Amino acid sequence: MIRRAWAVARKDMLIEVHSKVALNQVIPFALAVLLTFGFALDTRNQLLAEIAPGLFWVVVLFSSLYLISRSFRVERENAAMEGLVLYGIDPMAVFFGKLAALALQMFVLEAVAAAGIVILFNPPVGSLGLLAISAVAATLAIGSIGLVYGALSSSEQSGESLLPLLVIPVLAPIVISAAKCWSDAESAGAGIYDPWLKIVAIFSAVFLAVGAAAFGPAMED
Amino acid sequence: MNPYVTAGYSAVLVTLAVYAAWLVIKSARLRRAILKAGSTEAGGRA
Amino acid sequence: MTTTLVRKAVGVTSLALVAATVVMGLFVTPPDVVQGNLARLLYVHPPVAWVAYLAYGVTSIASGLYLWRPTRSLKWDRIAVASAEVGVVFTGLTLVTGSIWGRPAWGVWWTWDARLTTTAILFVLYLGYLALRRIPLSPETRAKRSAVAALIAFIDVPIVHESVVWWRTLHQGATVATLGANTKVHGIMAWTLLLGFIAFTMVYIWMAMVRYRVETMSAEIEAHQLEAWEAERMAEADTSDAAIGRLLDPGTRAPDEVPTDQGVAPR
Repeated sequence: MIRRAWAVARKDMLIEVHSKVALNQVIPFALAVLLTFGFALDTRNQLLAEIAPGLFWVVVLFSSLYLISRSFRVERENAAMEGLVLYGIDPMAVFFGKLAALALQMFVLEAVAAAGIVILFNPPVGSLGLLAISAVAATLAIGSIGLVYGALSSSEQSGESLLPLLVIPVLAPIVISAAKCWSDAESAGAGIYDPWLKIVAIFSAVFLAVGAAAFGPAMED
Repeated sequence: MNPYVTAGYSAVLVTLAVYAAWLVIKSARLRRAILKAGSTEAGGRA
Repeated sequence: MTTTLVRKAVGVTSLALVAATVVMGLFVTPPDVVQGNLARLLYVHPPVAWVAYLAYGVTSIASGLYLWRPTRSLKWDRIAVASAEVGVVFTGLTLVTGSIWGRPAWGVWWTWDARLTTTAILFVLYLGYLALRRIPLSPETRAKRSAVAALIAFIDVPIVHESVVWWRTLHQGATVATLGANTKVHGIMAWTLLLGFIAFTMVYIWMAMVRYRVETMSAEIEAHQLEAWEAERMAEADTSDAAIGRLLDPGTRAPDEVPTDQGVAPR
């Protein structure tokens, strides 16, 4: 199963390497949104630094939705998903493969967005460890739920705004807890023993399990 | 009567009445359509 | 036949019970010691909120029964959507009546209290469920996909609630006194509240029944239209086949014109 998951992940990464949609469209989009926050909130530095954690997770969530719809548009062309199912590949392998590829793209996106926020909004950074670990947990949760709803809403006739409508309310707990982690990580004394890190880790484990369990039924028609 | 109380009660009653009316009209229209389609057996069963 | 009777009986009863609740709540019960007339919202707001949760509970159970193979039937899917739609209406009303009560009681229309926030997320969550159902798919695929979505929503609700509770309590103490806490519920008020719960539950049952019927009839019409459309196409194909045949080989004009033993074709 791990080999098959790896094959699916490799396939998705190759598609990205060839098309460069994440690199040329989604990451620039995230940066454009960060700049827009700057204009809209009138470059009030103090305020921007304070709300930077929340802004970061909003930007990451919205940008990830593009990566997720992309991940399923690719499968829908030529009915590639049905092909995988017909070959009898375990949906679990497809799920973890796609999740690995998606998470990798999201990490790059997050690194760029975080660097952008540090440069543009100048927030204090207290604990890199807390930032990194909570980001990994939240990314896995966003990816899992995103993939399941991507499969559920995958259809020629579903509008572009359906996936965000489905995913955003479900992920509210992750946005809350990840933003709180990042908020705490701004203070000098912060560390990886932050109570919110525990919360985001638990939520992430639950969403990962839910995603792995639900992906099969969601994908097979 | 307290205006908030009036507002609360009317919000509930009006919304439910509108939704109920929509349900009744919709179901009557569907029933007519089924009868018209000639499947009287289906209309009678519902 | 009996279903129609039951539905009508439930409809009439719920109408009467709601009317009774309104009369009791607005005119018969005395104003509350603390909240005065405002407390009259007690007879609608909690019952409406209860129905919202009840409806989503029914949606979750029906979705689970659809996904479980031994009980798989489109009937459960129809129950799920009927209940969810009624649930969304009642969640909307919960938010509206809560807001209307909050304004005079707390001074604001909205506050990021755990229960309010959870209810708002719940509202959007099930709006999404209903939107997901509008993608044109085969009934079975749609049923399966929406059942999965409904179950995820069901798992998500307690997580959302916990996260919001922690969010509101880890940093600042709970600022909002819970609704019923300063309202002493006694005698006739308690009975009216109970009446409210029963009345709105009956309304829910009636609405879900009618909505279920709408869903069943729509499916029937859809199937019928598909059939008619298919028959039409078949007939069209037949006539066009015949026409093409005639053009290609005039000898096969009609079955009774089959060649006699001399077997000479006209051309």
